[in-house]
Amino acid sequence: MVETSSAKRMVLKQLPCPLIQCDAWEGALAAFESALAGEIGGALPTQVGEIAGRDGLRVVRAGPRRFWIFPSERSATIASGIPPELGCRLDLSEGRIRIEVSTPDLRDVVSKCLAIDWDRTLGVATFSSLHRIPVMFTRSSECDGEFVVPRSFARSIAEWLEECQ
Amino acid sequence: MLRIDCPCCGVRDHSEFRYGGDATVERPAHDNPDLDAWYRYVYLRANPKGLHREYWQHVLGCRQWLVVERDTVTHSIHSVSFSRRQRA
Amino acid sequence: MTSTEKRLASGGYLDRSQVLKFMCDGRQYTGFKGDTLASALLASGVSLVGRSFKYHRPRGILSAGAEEPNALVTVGTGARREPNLPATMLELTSGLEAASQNNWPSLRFDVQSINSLFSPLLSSGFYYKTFMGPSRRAWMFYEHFIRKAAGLGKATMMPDPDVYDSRDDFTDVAVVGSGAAGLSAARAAAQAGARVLLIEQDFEIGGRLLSEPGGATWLHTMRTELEEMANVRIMRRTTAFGLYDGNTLALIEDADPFAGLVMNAARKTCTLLHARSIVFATGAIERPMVFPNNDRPGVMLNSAIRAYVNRYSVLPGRNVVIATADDSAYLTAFDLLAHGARVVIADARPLAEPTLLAKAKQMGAEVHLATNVTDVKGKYAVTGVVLAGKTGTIGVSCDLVGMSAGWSPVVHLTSHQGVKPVYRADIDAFVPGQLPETQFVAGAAGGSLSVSEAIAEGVSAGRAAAAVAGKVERVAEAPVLEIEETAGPTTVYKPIFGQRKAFVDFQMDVTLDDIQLAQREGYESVEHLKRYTTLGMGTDQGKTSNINALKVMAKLRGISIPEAGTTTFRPPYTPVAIGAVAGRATGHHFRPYRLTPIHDWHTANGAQMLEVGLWMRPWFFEASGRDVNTAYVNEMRLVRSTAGIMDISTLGKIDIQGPDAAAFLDRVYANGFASIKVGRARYGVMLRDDGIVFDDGTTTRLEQNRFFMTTSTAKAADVLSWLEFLLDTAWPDLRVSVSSVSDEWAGMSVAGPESGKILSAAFPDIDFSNEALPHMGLAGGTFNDSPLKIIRLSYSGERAYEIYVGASNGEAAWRHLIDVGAAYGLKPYGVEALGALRIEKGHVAGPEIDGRTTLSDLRMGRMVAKRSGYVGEALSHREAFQAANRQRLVGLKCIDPGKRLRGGALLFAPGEPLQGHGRGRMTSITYSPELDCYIGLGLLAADFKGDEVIASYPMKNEVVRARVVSPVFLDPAGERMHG
Repeated sequence: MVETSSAKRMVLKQLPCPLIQCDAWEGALAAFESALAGEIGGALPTQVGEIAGRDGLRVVRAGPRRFWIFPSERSATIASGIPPELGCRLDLSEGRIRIEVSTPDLRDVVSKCLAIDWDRTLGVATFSSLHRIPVMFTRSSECDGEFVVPRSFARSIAEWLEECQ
Repeated sequence: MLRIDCPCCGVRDHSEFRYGGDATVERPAHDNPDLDAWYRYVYLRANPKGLHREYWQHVLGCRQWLVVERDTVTHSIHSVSFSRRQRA
Repeated sequence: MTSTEKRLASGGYLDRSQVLKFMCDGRQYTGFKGDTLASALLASGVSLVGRSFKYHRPRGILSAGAEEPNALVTVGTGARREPNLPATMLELTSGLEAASQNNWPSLRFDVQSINSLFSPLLSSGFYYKTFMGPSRRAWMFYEHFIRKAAGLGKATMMPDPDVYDSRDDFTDVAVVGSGAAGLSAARAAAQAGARVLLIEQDFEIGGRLLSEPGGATWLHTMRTELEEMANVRIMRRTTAFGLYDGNTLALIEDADPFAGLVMNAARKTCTLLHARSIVFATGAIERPMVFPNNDRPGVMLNSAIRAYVNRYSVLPGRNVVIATADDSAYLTAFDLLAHGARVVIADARPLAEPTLLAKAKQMGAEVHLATNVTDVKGKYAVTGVVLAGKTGTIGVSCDLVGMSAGWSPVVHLTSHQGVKPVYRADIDAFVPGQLPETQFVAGAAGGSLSVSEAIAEGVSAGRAAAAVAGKVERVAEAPVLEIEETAGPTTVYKPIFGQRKAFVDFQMDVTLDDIQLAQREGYESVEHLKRYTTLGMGTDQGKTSNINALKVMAKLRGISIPEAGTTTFRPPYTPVAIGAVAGRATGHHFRPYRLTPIHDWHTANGAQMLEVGLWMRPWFFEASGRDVNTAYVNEMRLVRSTAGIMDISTLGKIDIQGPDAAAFLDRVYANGFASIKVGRARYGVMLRDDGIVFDDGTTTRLEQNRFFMTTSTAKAADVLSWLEFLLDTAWPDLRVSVSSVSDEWAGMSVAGPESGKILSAAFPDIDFSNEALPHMGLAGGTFNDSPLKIIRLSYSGERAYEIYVGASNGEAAWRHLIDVGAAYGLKPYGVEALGALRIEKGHVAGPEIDGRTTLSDLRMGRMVAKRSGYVGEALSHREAFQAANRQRLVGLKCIDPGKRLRGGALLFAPGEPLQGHGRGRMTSITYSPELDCYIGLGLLAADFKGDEVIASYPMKNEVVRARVVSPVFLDPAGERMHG
């Protein structure tokens, strides 16, 4: 974890980001969803960007047939039992960094990062572009937000976030 | 500065998308060896004034390939749908 | 004249408790918070503020707004010097340092005003004639003088020390303009339940109402109400300068100079505002009259005089001539009379509204109907005018002249998307054309010049705009505003022709004569007129001049005003600081950068880094040599003799899985993949639909239905999108999932004769024998907590292994290999050596796969023999690709001792003239330590006979002989990599 707490008002943390991606095959979505719901023991989000949470496990719908599962720790077992005729699983735990940002200026900072309507970001996952880099943004309040970013861009984005405050 | 209404992500800036060309041309089957069919698919294009269908991928969002119906005169977008739904 | 002798004792929107000291042209003045630089200068008795662009004529303040063509000043010093700012929009601050422009040695005595004497030389078409005509040589002669003389202020040459921001914003309803219409629209839209953003270019809310003596209470009520609404945001000092697709408004906002010092705060902010609907309440700009010497300091727009009197509490003159063709000027006269000024009204019309006439006379004004100003006396300040009426001419002495020739609605934004404004003869003005359903106009912007209309239209536009966003709650009536109003122009103002020095465009110094000359010389259309005379091309973009000019041209051509039409309106409405568009994406943050998991090791261990796309990659290591040319050759020797390690994490990596994954790859790659066994890798080439090579890489079958694809670093994103395109649009029936795993894996290649031993020592659990792990074989395991994949692949031609480990353990794995390998002589190498090694081995890369070459061009045609059903197959068989002179891959070896090859050189037959494009070209070159000479890859016509070419590099005048050889310079049998 890299933690920066500058004289500015932002606290920024770079954290590992365990992530399992599951894709359903076209035509097998309903069966896939019930299989996946069974695997994780809870209902799945229905809309892209919707977040379902349970026991330290966050499930985000990342596309019409794609789910991103964020466990609190790396796991080889989560969603490992999906029948191959319904869909597939891919562990993406190494390639992303979670950048946690806390600042009273979060709205202002985000406006310099994403072409996204702030009022529609609370409680949902927004897949968007930060300097043409694919990121997932979530926020839990007016001051606390989180970017899931590709590992190779993490330092560039973290510096940007700090310097655009 | 087009704004494209992705069917699953909502209205987004065109900078999140990748342009994919004409969506009105029918791609020959992968094992179709007909040179002429492929010639028409790859090279022959109408240049319509008004409504046009084109492929855009929401590459920095849900990554879905979409069919966008855009007015080439006004740039207004009339419909956006998943390419897969169109094919199905 | 240092006292505030023109400042009225009370009134206005000023905070008189805050006295602000400022400098202009080296003299100190004072003003109040709430002043602009222009109002503070006027209050201090300064009327001469600049020199004009071409003729260096003395100029004063014409307007009180963004349309100002004359009073442009340079503000600040050193790196913060900013030219061409309209004093009428400059919010006065303490310590402001302004300087007038275009004057030397001083404003009052300007040497170059001698240009004025040569004015015929600088008349319309001057630039065209000297640039384009037979007198082109004349331009060479004149250029130096003209460039020195003509021009505006000078920007600083120093780097900008300030910070800017660029951002996006969103709202349901955007309201542009905060006059009576805008405020009413914002309030109505907000009451209906919409999120509202109100945009005002001024630092004060209110628009034209700020000039109305009776507007203050209403303004205060509305403003307070809006400020208290949670769903309303107000942006002041913000100009909407452009309208783009999707109801996107581009805004430029100046920081509040009274906000106090905020660390790292932006001086200006550019916002892209995405609105569901927009209300344009942008108001109207008053037009000047066109009469001789109408540009003298002290000639102002009547609306500006009202603004200075009522908003800024300045009485700019005590003896005033009000020239007009419009009733609204009478209100200016009344305000002046109320403050004790003497007023003479020269109304160009034969009749005026009787109640206005009666009131004017009753208040003591002298009114002349059917009377025009035919000259203005005074050079640095107005001293009098000549009036011509039915009864003859009279001279009137005065210290201020007001003028009104009607109003031009601000139709710029509504026109930016191609909606042409339309002419309304009843108000002699262009108004917005038919707008899209999500855009509305209210008030003077739409030609409704009265305040009561503005309020009513504002309310209905605000309500309609909110409804677009689905907000339809009940909207209350707007508070009533009772105010003295007049009708619009009752006749169309027509300038009198044949008058000298009657300015139409003040900033560009275009006169009535110039327009007549342009017409005589055939430049009749408004677009030609603009370019021929430069009319409307100043920093004010002709806000006060364009309509007058096109009316003049219509008259000269004997056509109607709509037939003449307007020029095209384009963003920006007002000048925009380019720094604000960039925001903070400058310098270090010009674009994002991409680091491999091993980056920190590289920088700590003497790597010279190179930007490759967004990636930072080691170019070479300093331990290998002081400069790149020494280092890469040593690094090549290292790989050929012992072993080197290279960071290849930048390669595109794609996970492909699903029941149909093998069938999918079999179509995607030109060469077959269905037959590849689990645990084996294969080199593959993809074509585009047109039969041209797209990208190459290796793909490994990890499991029956799972593959690990690598792509070139450059094409990684394109390949993934292409695979998704095929699955989404062409073959949705295939059950295949593709995902980028480029960031998942750190990649490193260990290459060289010792590589097998090093790997065995580093990963003792894995069998690296040729039998267990042959060339193109896969081994797996874990390293620390991360997955590990080792694929025996060679790019250099040596025995080599690609080691992929989870990115979080990338640096640890690299260190481990370096530590273990040190005993065998393992050292790191960079991309320069990598590129050179592959040339020796004859591997193609980006310079050869350049979007023009086919598989057979690259001598890989045999890969696809007997294959069918792959992307690009049909068109790769087209006749043109089989032509005998098709350029094909060759090796080239320099045979001139002591000379070198160059990439990009053209290839010719010996004895052939070195002209044209030659028979081919050199694509990649390197010095080869193995062959002790320069070698290269090239593309050479297949029908070229002979084994020698001349490589010509005209950029450096180099001509070198090269032998045509096999592209595989080294170990053609592949013994080294299989061994």
